[in-house]
Amino acid sequence: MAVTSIKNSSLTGIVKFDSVNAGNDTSKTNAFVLLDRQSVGATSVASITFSNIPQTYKHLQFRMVLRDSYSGVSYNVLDVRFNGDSGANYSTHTLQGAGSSVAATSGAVTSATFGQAGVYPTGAAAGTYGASIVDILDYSDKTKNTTIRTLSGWDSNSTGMMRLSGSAWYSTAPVTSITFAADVWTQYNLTQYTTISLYGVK
Amino acid sequence: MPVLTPVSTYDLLFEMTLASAVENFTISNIPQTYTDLVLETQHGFTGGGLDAVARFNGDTGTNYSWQEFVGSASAMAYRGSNSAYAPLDYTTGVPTTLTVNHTMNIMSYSNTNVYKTTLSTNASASSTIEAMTNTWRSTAAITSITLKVSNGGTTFLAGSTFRLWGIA
Repeated sequence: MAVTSIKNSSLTGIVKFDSVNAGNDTSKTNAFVLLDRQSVGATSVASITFSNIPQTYKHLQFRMVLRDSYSGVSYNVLDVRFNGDSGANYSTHTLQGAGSSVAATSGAVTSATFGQAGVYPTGAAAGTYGASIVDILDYSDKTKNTTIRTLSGWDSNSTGMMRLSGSAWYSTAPVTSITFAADVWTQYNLTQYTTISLYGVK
Repeated sequence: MPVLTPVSTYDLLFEMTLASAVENFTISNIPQTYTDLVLETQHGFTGGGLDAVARFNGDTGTNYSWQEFVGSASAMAYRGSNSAYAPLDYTTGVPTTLTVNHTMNIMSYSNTNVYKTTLSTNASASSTIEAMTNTWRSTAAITSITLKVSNGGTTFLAGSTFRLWGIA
C-alpha cells in the first residue's frame, strides 16, 4: 500500500501526537502496585490488619500517617505482628534522634512479642501525624526469616523525632497477614485519619 | 482479602534537567489523584549556597519545621528547627558538582485533614548523609512545590535533574 500523506488530506478529525504512545497510557508494568488501604474513621480502632496478602510479589511496602488516642504530650511506637504470631519471636534495633541527641537501642533476639514499624506524636496539635515507610523484603520466601526496615519521623512545631529501625520475625513462614497496633499492643487506639497503604513490589 | 482492585502506580508526573543555572522554579498544578508524592533530585550549586529548600503552595511563612540525623566527616548529630521552608539538605559544604542526591516522600499530600509530613534521605558526596522529616503546618492539599536555593545569589547547577512521582 502506498504511503499517503495526511498533511494536505481531506480527512477530518485527525489527531496528531508528539509521541509514539499516541495518547495511550504509558505501559503499566505492575512493578509497584497498591494492594490495599485502610483509614480510620470517626471511631478509633485498636488495630489494623491486612490479611490474605497475595504471594505473587517480591517485596511489600507500607506507607502510612499515624496518630493514637493517648493525650499526653509525648510519642508512641507502632507495633507489628505477622501471621497473628503473639509469641516471643521478634527483635528490634533502632537508631533514634530527638532534641539534640542520638541514641541506639536493641532488643535481644526473640525477646519481644511484636516488632516495631514507626514512631508518631501523641497529644500534639490537631493535624499533626507521624509518617512511616516500612519495607519488607522477600516476604514470601520460605527460606528466610522476615526482616522489616522502617524510616519514620514526626515534627510538632520543632519538637519531634526521627527513627531508623529494623525488626525481625523469626519465622520462615510466608507472610500472609500483618497487624499494626499502638504500643504496647493496643494499649491505645489508632485515631481518625490514620491511614496505612500496602503496596506489592515485583 | 485486600479490598481494593490492585492499581499499578508510581507515576512520573514531572521531570526536568536544567539547561542553565536557576535560583528557583515551581512545579504547579499537581494532580490531586494520588496519595503520596516522591520528589527526587540530583543537584549541585554554583557556589555559596547551603541548602536546597522546598515551599508548598507558595507559603513563605514560618509554617515549616524539621528534624534530622546528619552524618559528616566522623561525627553524627541530630537537630531540628522551625523555618520558612522545608529543607532538602543541610549540607555543611558547598557541592559545586552534581553530587547531591535527594529523595523526599511527601505523605498524604492531598489529604485536607492532616498537616503535611515528609520523610527524606539525602546524600551529598562531598559533605553529608542525612535522614530528615519535615512538617508543613497546613491541612491544605499541596498543589505546587517551589524549589530554591536558600542562600540568595546562588543557583542550582545546570544539569541538575528533578523528578516528581505520584503514588496512588
